[in-house]
Amino acid sequence: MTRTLLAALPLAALLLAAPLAAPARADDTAVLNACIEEAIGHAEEPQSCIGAVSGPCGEALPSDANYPDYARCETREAEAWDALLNADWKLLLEELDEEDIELVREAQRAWIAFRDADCLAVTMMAHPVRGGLWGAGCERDRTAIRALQIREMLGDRGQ
Amino acid sequence: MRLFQALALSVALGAVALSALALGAGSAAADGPQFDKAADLAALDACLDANFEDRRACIRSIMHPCVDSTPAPDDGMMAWKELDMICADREASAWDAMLNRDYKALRAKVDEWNPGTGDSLRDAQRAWLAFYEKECAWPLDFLRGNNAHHADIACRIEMLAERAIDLHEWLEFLE
Repeated sequence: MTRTLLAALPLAALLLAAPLAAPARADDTAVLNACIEEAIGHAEEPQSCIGAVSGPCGEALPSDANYPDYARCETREAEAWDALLNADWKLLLEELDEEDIELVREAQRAWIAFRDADCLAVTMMAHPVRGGLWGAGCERDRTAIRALQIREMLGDRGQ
Repeated sequence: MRLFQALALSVALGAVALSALALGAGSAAADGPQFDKAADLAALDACLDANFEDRRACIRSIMHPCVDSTPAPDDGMMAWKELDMICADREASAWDAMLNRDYKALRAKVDEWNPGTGDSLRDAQRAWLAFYEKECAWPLDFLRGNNAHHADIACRIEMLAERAIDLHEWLEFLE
């Protein structure tokens, strides 16, 4: 599927935010974890933590910063959510027996495929000017929401 | 050849409704009391308009009045559960109808100015559908309480509503 998409839409593929392969900065992940804990402590929705890294990152950019600069801030936060998700994911698997692990893995694989396809569609919808920025924002949002879902399933066992 | 393949693909995909409920979530609504699907969809539209800041407030806005307005069954707990399921299916159907309507409108809209974008939206929706099916098959007793039947429809309502709201907001944004 990915190959078909890339063949059909080389421009969009180039505009897509970099895959979430880069290691997250440890301090970014710490910012998100602290924000989630504080939100829950105040009985607030942890979704309010989306933007906790990319917001200050964007504000620190020089006044002549362009869309790709802002997109890099979004991607930086997406990587931090991804790191948080992966850490919680390992804890979640420890709670499950083999049969359940397979179910959960399939769901997670399907989620990854959905995130990638959805964020490509978003990139296309915003093409050409804001494609990269919106695609990166989509990856940040989708990854954050998933990370928070997994965190919620873990309950008090998270982090 | 490429054109032929593309045509075959679009025909094949066109035949598969990107509707989630078409794949068989809950059939209780069809057997239960009749209700006005168009009215339910209109009620959801009105709810989304009235809750611009928090669209999630509309989740279960069909189901709860449905349960409340139905006369209490006099033959025990089983009847209550059936009533819950009928109303939950009704809620899921309404979100599913919105999702389908807005998906079609959005797909037509995005292709207007950037050909090929509709295809990427279709691919995203197919991926969502696959995700939806897998996600609602998570080990229910661990994650979603003990009543698997209810948990399953709860998962479906939640995911249908989230996706419908997503597409609805894209459509609003682009219009």
